[in-house]
Amino acid sequence: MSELWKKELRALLPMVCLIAALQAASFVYALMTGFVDMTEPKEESAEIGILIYRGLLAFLLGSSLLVGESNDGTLRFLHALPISRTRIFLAKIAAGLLVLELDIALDFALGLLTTFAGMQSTSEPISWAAEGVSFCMQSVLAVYLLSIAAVLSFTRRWYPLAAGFVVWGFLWMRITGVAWTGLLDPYELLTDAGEGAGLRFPWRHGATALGVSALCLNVAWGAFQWLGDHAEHAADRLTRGRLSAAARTIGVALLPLVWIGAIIYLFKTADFQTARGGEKSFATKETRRFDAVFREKDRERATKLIAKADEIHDQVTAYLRAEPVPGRIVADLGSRVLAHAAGQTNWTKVRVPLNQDASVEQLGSVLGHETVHVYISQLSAGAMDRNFDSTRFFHEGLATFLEMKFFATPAKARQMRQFAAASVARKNVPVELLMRNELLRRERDANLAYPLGMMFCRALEKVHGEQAAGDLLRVWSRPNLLETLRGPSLWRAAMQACGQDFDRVMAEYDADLDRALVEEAAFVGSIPHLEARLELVGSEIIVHPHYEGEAPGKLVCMLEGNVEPEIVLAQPDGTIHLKRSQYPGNKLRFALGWVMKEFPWPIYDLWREHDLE
Amino acid sequence: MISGLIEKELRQHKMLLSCVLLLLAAGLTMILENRLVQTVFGSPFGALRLLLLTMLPLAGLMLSHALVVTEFRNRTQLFLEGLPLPRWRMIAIKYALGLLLMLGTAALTLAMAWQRSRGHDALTPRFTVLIGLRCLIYVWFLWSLCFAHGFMGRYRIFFGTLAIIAILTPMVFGSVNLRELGPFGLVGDRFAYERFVFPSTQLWVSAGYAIFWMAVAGTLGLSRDATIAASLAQRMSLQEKFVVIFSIFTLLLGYITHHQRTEKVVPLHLPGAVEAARGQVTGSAAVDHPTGKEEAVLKSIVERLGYEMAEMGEYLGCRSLPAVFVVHRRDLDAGIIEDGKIEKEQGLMVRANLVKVDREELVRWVVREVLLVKSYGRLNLERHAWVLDGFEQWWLGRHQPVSVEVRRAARSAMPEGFSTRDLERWLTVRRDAGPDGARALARVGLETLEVRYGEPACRKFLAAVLGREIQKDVRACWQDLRTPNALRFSQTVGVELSAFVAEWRETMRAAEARR
Repeated sequence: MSELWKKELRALLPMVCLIAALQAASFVYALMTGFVDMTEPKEESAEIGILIYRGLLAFLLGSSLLVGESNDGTLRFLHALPISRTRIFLAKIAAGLLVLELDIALDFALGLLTTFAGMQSTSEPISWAAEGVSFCMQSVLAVYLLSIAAVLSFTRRWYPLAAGFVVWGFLWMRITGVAWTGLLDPYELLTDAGEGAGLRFPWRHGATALGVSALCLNVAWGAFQWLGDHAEHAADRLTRGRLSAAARTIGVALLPLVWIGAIIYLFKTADFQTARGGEKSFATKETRRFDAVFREKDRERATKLIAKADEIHDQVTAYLRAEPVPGRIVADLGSRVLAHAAGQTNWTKVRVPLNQDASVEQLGSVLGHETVHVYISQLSAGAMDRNFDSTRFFHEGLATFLEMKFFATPAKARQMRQFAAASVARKNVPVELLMRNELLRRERDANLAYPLGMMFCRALEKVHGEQAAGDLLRVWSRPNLLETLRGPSLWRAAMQACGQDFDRVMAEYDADLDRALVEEAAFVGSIPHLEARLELVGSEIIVHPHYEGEAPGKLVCMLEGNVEPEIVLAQPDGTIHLKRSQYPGNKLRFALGWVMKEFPWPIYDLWREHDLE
Repeated sequence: MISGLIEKELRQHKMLLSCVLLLLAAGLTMILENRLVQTVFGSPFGALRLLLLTMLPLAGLMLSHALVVTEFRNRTQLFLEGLPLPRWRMIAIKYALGLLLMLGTAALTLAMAWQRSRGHDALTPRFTVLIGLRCLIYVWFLWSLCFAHGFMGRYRIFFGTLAIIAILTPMVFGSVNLRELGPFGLVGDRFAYERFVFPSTQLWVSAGYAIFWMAVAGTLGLSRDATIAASLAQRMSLQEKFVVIFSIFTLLLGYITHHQRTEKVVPLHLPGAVEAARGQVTGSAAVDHPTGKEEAVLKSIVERLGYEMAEMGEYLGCRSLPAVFVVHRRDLDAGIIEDGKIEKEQGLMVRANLVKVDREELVRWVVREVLLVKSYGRLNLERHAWVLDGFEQWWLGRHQPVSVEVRRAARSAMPEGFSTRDLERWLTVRRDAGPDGARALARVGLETLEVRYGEPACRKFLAAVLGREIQKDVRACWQDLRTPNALRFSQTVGVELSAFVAEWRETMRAAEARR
C-alpha cells in the first residue's frame, strides 16, 4: 500500500510543484505591493477569489485523478499487482486530497506568517479556534470540490460540458431560489468564522457538503470499479458509428453554449414583452429633434407628448449648453423598460413607455429625465457610462435635478427633497459614499443616488452656477484623463480639471442637507424608525418589525440577495414572512423600510444582521 | 482543384460546421428571446452585439481549431502537400471558407435583428449601412485573428491570455486604450445606437488589424515548409501545461504589480487657494463669499503650516514631504479636524473650521499625519510609535522647557519598571495611559535625549526614524528588520537604547523628587 501511495504522490508531483509555485508567486506579489508586517483590512472579494482558485485546482486535479490511468493505458499494469481496485481508488483520492490540503496548509502558513509579522502588543491574540474552524471548512471545501470533480471526470471528453452543467445549474437554482440550494453553496463554507463567543461553525453547510461528497465518492468508486476492458468495450460500441459521432460533435458544440447560454438565461427575469403585431401596429413620427416610434393604439397620447418633445429637448440642451446630437434622438414609446424604471436610455435612444396611469405632463417629465441622460453620455463622450460605479449618482442626480427644475411640479420637487432628508436623518450619506454605487447599495440603498445625486447637483449649481454641470461633463470627454481613477479621487480630479472646487460643493451639499433636515423636520419626524425581532417558526423566518407612532405607509423588507437585493412586502398584520429554505445560512442581513405612495422608492432604515442559529 | 479542396473541407468538417451554425442559431435565439437582454439594451441590435462579442468568437475558435489545428496536429496536411497545389492556396482556401461561414452567419443574424427592430427603432438607411459595415469589418478582423490564433497550436491559450491582458490594460501600451480603438470600438457600447457618426478610424484600424493577422497566419503556415505550424500544433505534456498555467498566473500578477506600482495620481490643486511662502502648503475656503476675517485666518494658518513643514523637512533631512491642503469649512465645529482622505500620493488634506479651531492642535495634527502619509502609515507601527508620539508634542514646544502639566502627565503615564520593552509595547502604554499621557511621556523622553546628548544626536536619531525615505514594498519591512530602532539609536546617539531609557526614567524620578 505504501508503494501505491508513493506512486500516486510521485504522479502528482507536477501538481504539487505547480501549487507551490503559485503560492510562492502570490507571496512575492504580496511582498512587492505592500507591507507584510502591517495588517490591512481583508478585501471583500478575497473569499470569491479563494473559491475560484480552489475550484479550478480541484477540477484540474480531478480531471485525471481516477480516469488518467485508464486513458493512458496504465491501469492494466496495476491489475497485474495484488491490489484491489478499492485500494487503488482510496490511494488516489487520498493523494488528491493531500495535494489540496497542502495548498490549504501553505495558504494558512503564509497567512499566519503575515499575521504574526503584523501583530502589535494590543492586537487580539490569534484565535486558534477560529483558525481551526476556518481550516476545517476549507478542508471540507476541498473534499467537496474534489469529489464532484472526480465523479464528473468519468464523463471523459464531456468533462467540461458536465462541469458547465453542474456550475450553471447550481447558479440557476441559487438565483431562482430553489429551496435549500443555499446549503450546497461552497461559498458559505468560507464565511468568516467569527471569534470568541461569536465563533460560528457553519455545521449545516459543512454537513451537507460532506454528505454530497460521500455520495459523489460512492458513485466515483462504483464507476472506478467498472473501469477497464469491459467498460471500454461498451463505450467503444456506444461511440462507434455516425450517430455517436454526431452526438459527440453536438456535445463539443454544446460546451461553449452551456457556459455562455446559461449566463444569458440566468438573467431572464425581467418583465418585458416583445412587441408583437407586426409593423402595421406601429407608427413613426419625426420632429426637429426626435424620431418617435409608438404603438398605433397610443397615437393620441403619443402625439401630445411628441408635440412637447422638442421644447423639452431644447430646455435640456440650453441648460447644458450642448449642441444637439447629430441626427435625431430615437424616442421609443412602445417598448417596456425595467420594472423599477419609468424610462431608460441607451446612448441616443430613449424609451418612455406610455404608462396608462401617467399624464402627458408626467410623461414629459420622464422624457426630460431621459433626454438629460442622452446629453450626459454625449458630452462626456460615453466616459460617464463606462465608469458607472463612480458616476451613477451624477447621472441620475443631474437627470433628477433638471427634471425637478424644469418639468416636474413644485410638490414633486419638494417630495424629492423630503425623501433625501428622511434618508439622511437615518444616517448621513457623505458624498464619498455616494460616489461608490456598489458600496452605497451595500451600506444603504442604491436608489439614494436619485435624491442625493440631485442634492449634489443643486450644490454644484449653487457654488459654480448653471454652466457647472455642462463644464464638468465636457471634462470627461478628454481622453485618458480619468481612466484609472475611481470614486472621490475621480470626482476631485474631474472638478479640478474644469476649475471647480470639490470641497466647496461638498460643503454646500452637507449644508443643504442640514437645511433640508431642519425645513422638513415635521415630515422626517413622521416616519418612525424601525426595529425588528426575528422568530424561527417551522420552515419560516418571521420578521416582526416594531416602531413608535403611526405607520406612514406599508412595511417592506430589503434582503441581501445573490445578485440584487430582494424586496419582500409585509403581510397585512405587519410581519414579514420568509422561507427558511431560501435563507438557510447562519445569519440574515436585511433593512426595513416604508413604502409610501408619494415616493417612487421605499425609505429604508439601516441594514441589520441577525443570527439565525 | 480548388473546388475539390473546398469539398474536402466541407466533407471533413461537416458535422462541426453544422454545429457551429447550430451554436450561432441557438445563441441568437437565446439572446433575442432573453427578456433582460431586450430590456436592458432596448434594441435587438444590442442583443446582436452580445452575440458578436460572445458566440461569434467561440464559433471562430472552433472553426480555426477544425480547419487549422486538427489538420496540422494530425499531420494530414502532408497528404495535401502531395497534390499539385501550392501551399499558400491550401491555406487561402481554409481562410476563405472560414470567413465566408462567419460572414454568412453574421449577415443572417444581422438580418434577423433588423427584422425584429421594426417597431422599436428608426431604421434609416444610414443607420443600416453603419451597422452593416461595423459587423462586416469586425467579423473580418475576428476571423483573421482566430485563424492566426489556430496556427499558434498548443500555445493558443497562452497567447490568448496575453492578448486579453494587452487589450484590457492600456497601461501596457502607455496611454493607448485598445478598448476604444479599432475592432473593440466597432462593437462597443454604441454599436446598437450610433446612427450618425461614421467610425472611419475604427473601420480602418480594424481592417489594418485583419490584414496584420492574415499576414501572421500566412507567415506561420508557410515558413519553413509549415514545420513551425506542425510542431506548434502538437499536444502539450502535463509538465508543459503546468508551466503554461504558472506563466499565465505570474504574468497576471506581474501586470497587477506593475499597474499598482506605476499608478498615476493627478496632482491636486485647490481652486483659488492661498499658498504658503515656504513649504508645500495650500489652503482654500470652501465657503460662499469668505469674510475678511476668514481670509486672514486662512492665510495665517497656511503660512504657519508652511513654515512648520519647511522647518520640519529641513530638520529631519527629508527629501520631500507630502503636500498639505487646508480646507476651511464654516459648518464644522471647533473641535473637529477632518481628514480629507485624498490619495496618499497626492498628500494630506485637512478640513476644519479655521476660525474656531485650536491652531496649536491643528498644527500638531498636521505634523503627525504628514509623517504618517510620508511613511505610508508605517510610523504607526508599534516599534516607531513612541518616536512619533514624542515628536508630535516635542516639535511645537522644542524651544521651551517641558511644562509642569506635561511632566505630570508623563509621570502618571510611565509604567512601573519602565524599560525598552515598554518602547516595543508602546501601544499598550498608549492604551493604559491614554494618548495624551503617552505623548507626554515620549515628549519628556525626547527632551531628555536632547538635553543629555545634544541637539545633533537627537536630530540624527529623529531623522533616522522619521525622515528616511520608505519604499512601499518589502524593502521597508527588511529595513526595519535589519536596523531596529535600538540599533538606529545606538548608531546615531552612540549610547545603547537601554541605557538611555534608564536615564529617561531617572530624569522623571529626579523631576518628581525636585517637585
